[in-house]
Amino acid sequence: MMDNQAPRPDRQDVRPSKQGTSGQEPGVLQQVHPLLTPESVANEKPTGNPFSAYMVRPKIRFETQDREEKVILLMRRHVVTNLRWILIAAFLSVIPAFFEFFPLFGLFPARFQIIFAAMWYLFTTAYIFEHFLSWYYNVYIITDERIVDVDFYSILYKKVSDTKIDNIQDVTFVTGGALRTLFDYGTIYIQTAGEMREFDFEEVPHPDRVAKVLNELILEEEQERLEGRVR
Amino acid sequence: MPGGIGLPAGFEGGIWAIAKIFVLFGLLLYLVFAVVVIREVKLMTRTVTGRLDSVVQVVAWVHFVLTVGIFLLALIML
Repeated sequence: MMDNQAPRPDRQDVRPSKQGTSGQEPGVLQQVHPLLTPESVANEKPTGNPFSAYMVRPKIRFETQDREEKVILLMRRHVVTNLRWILIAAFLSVIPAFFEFFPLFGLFPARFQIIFAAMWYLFTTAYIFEHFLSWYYNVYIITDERIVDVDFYSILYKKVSDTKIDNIQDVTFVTGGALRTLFDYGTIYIQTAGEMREFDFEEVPHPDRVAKVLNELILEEEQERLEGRVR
Repeated sequence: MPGGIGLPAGFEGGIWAIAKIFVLFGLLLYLVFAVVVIREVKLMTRTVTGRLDSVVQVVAWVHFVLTVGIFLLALIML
């Protein structure tokens, strides 16, 4: 359980004050407001690897982000969930080497065969790229104020849902099966009081940690409300 | 011609001309898809801005250029 009364240097947002407005010398750090980072991730270093499926305080921004809003966690489906399409892509990549064994392919003149092989690799590239994009940009974001679910369906259709931390009523996470247990990933179900009743963070890494962060944020929001510090 | 189907020269030439039209039409459709991918990437990078955005945009453009290249290659070669 958190102790909101205890001083926590890692949870303080400090900015240089301007001379004349606060009576302090320039360069002197002034405390603006406490908190913002839940205890469980406060001591973790920001994730630098852009391919990570579990990013702590990542250097990203999203479309509807407020200026003061801070991203605490960004999650994608676990990397292991990409295994299926990676294997398919590997299989597709080697197929042109066996084109000559297809009787129908041999009927075409050599110039057609070259173009077909080039087209095949083009389609394979598109297949890989589309799957990568789908994995990379379908993200779940937890900020200090809300949770955001960014979904891209097929091509050119996106759905961005968000709800305030205040609206969260229940957080459940499910893991199970050999692969999920081995690689520590699972699905988090978040019941809310908002218009969208449930948020599902599917196949994200470390679901237990994510649930803990969410619980800490809920507690912090309650504390803020009690202290009248609601933004 | 290697890989020919053994029909009279004029008739075979006609078949390959039709096949060329089909291939070019397919590549033209694919060209539209490549443009859509560029738009898709733009939409995605605008929604979530991260460190890989420029790389992803370059890949989308390279894919488009490759598609144009193969289309032109098919136009010339077939």
